[in-house]
Amino acid sequence: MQKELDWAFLWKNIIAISAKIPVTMYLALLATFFGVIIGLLIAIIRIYKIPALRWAASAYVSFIRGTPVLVQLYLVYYGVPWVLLTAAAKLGMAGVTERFNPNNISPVIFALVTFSLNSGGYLSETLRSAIESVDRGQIEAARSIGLRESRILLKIVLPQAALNAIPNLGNSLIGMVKDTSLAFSVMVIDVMGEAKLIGSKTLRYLEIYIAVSIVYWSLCILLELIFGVAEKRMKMTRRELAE
Amino acid sequence: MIRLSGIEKSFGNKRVLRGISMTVETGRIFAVMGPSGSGKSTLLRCVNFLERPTRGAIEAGGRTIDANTATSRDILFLRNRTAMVFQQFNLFQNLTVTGNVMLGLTDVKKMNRRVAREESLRLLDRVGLSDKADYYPSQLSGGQQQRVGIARALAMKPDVLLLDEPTSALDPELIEDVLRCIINVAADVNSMIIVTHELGFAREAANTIVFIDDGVVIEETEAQAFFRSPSSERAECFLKNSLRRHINPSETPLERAI
Repeated sequence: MQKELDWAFLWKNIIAISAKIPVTMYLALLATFFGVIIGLLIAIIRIYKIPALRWAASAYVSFIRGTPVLVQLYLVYYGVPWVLLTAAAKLGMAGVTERFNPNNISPVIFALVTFSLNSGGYLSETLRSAIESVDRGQIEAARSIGLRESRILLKIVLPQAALNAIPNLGNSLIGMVKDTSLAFSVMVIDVMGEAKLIGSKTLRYLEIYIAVSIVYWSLCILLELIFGVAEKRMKMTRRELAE
Repeated sequence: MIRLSGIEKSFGNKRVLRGISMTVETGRIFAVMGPSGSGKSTLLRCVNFLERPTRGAIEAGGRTIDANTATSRDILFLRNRTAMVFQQFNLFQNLTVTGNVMLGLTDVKKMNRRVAREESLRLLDRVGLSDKADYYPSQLSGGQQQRVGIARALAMKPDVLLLDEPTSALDPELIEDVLRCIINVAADVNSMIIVTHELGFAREAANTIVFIDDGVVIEETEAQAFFRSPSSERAECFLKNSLRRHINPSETPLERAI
């Protein structure tokens, strides 16, 4: 017999699941933050065509874009402890791994590493186009008065690229909030993790998935609103400047 | 003093400059003239290595820098002794007017910020823009932007100031302003190379006219003599064509300016 939807149960669990929003946001915000740093490094390597590193950067971006996040998550989760343990054994530092066992690293760290690396790969393209959209004439002007390339980047290019990149960074953060739902695969109890746990205890999966989708949806609408306001403010200051 | 010897520049198979030499002594103002596509702007951009010459050498500040062996240190040395005013102004959009003028002083000349600010305000006064010190470039007219560009270049106290068609992106009614401004500051500058199409301006401002066509110097003549009677047929032809273009459609801004 078909079960009736239990609305009270659904409502109660929206609140229970919402308690894990901080975990999701912590992952998404930090991953985007580290992603910007990694992405910026890669963008600079590719724009300035730094030899050797350039090919490594291309391969990295290609790998990130060419494999599913879930696969990347498992690779980090199983791969990093293996690499650490093997390296310790080879270097004759087995004693270190007894006090500090890589298998005890919190799963949140693995998730954070994966999502940072992932968003770094994608953001490198966003940041590259933001940097390349800065008018070349200004770069030439800075060179003509004798500024070094690193100072030009810092004083002229990056401040203007940052403004160009803000709308895309907002979209990346929203994407990341949803991607972090995969972190449950490596035992992180975030919004999705909590939902799955409640689901398997109560077997009311449909209600739980409706609840969790409402939580994600609301979260993303909120973020869109925040970035919308930020963008409007930015455009306004630009227009004021232009007047 | 700056000396160019045998400057050549090719873009792919296209030879834009075919061995150009000239010496600009301190106190001299050179105007480089010639038909479009003759290589005038490229020549100017080779002087500070915005374009790296294919061959040739540039002597400035007691050092000779060869295009084939120039290191990034040599290029910085050259750029510290030159400054450029661009056709499209190229002001830093993220900085105020004062910020534009100050950047070279604080960052390249390592000047104290307070001193650099005072110096910048003095220069902005010199180009008649002290009331716009805190504006952003996007709030200024083209003529005002170009005067900021001039102040920014002057701040570096270059051995030679390079001006690349400084008025050709301006509305006709703004050209006069900028030409006046250049003539006004000329006294403060060690030497200048100006690429320009403004005949009257070249005649008033420059000591020497270098006429270039097809990547070679056709003639280098004292300015008054050049406009009275150029020694080459090509320059004479160029002058005739330019004058016809300028005089026929009533009065041009440049004639009003001069």
